[in-house]
Amino acid sequence: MQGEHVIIKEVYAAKVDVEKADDLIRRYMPFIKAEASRQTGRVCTEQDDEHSIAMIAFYEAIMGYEKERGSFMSYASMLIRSRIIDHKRKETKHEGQLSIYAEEGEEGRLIMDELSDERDHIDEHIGLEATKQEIEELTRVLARAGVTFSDVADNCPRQQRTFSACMRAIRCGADDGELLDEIERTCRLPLKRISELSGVERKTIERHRRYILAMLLIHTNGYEIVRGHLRHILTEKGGASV
Amino acid sequence: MRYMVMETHLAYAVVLGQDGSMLKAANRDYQVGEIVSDIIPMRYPETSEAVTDINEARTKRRRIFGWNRNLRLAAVSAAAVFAFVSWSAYDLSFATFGSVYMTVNPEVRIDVNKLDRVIDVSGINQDGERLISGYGYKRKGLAEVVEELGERAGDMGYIEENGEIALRLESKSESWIVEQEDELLHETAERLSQSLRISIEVNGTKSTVISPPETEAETIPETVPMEPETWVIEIPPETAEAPSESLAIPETAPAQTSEPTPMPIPQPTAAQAAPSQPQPSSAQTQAPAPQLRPSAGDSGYGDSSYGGYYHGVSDYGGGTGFEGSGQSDYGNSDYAESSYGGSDYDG
Repeated sequence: MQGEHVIIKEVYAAKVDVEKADDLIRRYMPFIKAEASRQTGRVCTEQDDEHSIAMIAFYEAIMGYEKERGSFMSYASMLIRSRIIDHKRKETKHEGQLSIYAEEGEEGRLIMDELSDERDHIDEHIGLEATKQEIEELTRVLARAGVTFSDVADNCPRQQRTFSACMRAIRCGADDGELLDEIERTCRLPLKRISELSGVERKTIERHRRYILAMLLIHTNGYEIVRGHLRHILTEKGGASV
Repeated sequence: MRYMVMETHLAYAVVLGQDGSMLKAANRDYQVGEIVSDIIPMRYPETSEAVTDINEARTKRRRIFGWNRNLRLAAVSAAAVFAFVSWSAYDLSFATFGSVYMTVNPEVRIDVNKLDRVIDVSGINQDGERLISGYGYKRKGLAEVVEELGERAGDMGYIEENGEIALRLESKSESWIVEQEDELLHETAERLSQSLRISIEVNGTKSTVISPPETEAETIPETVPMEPETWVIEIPPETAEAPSESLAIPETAPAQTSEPTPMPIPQPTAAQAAPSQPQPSSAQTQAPAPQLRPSAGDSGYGDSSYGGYYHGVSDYGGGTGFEGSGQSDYGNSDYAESSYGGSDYDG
């Protein structure tokens, strides 16, 4: 059982270390590709959707695996299988309908993009490079607080109720200029103040502090493009009923 | 809805939705800054947050009355009784009766209800959150959770050889503290130390400082109300990093020190009376009582005579006559096996 023990140990180490996770995934790429191919019935290349799905499924397996679940490899292959099947099901459901997400035209632009939409024109003008720079700056600022976007994603509430509460907290926080300044300066969240401002339980804010911190940072200077992407956050009648 | 790609990795990308949600999704050849629409979101294992939210949702009750007087009276009485019963049930099941702060390096807090079921596990620091991510505590018992988390910390590389786990207990009920201390020290620490060879410290003091074992001889202190005791369980180093989670368990029970027997610890911190160091191997099936040394340093026990405490090891019923000189007991254990299979500890 040596082999199994080694794998398990590697998986557990990969749970907390992103680099180790990447290494593990790279090492098992042949396995991942094979599993994906088995599901689709044809050889899977890196271009295929199934390949991306299989990779994230493997990643999910790393995160969700517990020793009690038996062999890691079978757990991973089960996960890959079910994710690809889910995706196939979703695809066949939409078969026959021309999705506005479908590509059309020589440049492969999305149909949706072709649809007239003032917002789209603005987006086009902004351009990828400028957006990228904003994001890179944001990444740097977050790094000062020891946070990555992966952390933020993990920290984002998945229950609708909690998510709404956090939104409330963010809206109220974003309205308070001084608060934003403080956050920008210290890269930390004044939990008590936000809780008071928004009426959201301190415990909730504390639990999702990384996510809330990132969202509030976005509302500080220099992230106009990213803010522009977030449509309704500020237009909500969150008017801090403070 | 459209998503802005914020970060890319080999197996996934992090995207920001227009609604403000930030999530991980399959990386379909994304570029940072790109706007995409058709994402394949990642599914997270059920986390403690989800379970806690579900539990909270289930405890909400609402009642609306609009009946005639007598009926209303009856209804109100019934409601009062019902409310009381519900409250009791709630209080028993969902109210935190005690908390255990576990520090390895990652620090987590384990909340326990009156019935000794774990109702919440939360990370105090970032490593703590990583440690518990994905861990299902589903109403498990406290000891079980402590053990499993300790193991998990070992697996994830958060504990190193001779590392320490500190447990700090908090509760309004002293008797609870005493009881838990007892069980945690004897059983949990024992089991954990067998596979991990670390030192576990159950600290009765309010401070979160883990005082290194200082005194060699420790005597069983007289029952000191609310005096925390520190149990140090030596855990053989296995992994390099050792974020520690502190389980702070204030214990008022007489300090009992037990040493994890299966751990051959080069130098026991705090002058463990037991000189024998079990070879590092986690396959120790016997369960010599782990020796926990109450740390006199921070508990204000100052004047208690801790001397000769190790001699009392046999009180722990480790069953192996685990006195300080019981070196030979370690000799014949088969330490060579690794215990990744975890079969000994699976709940």
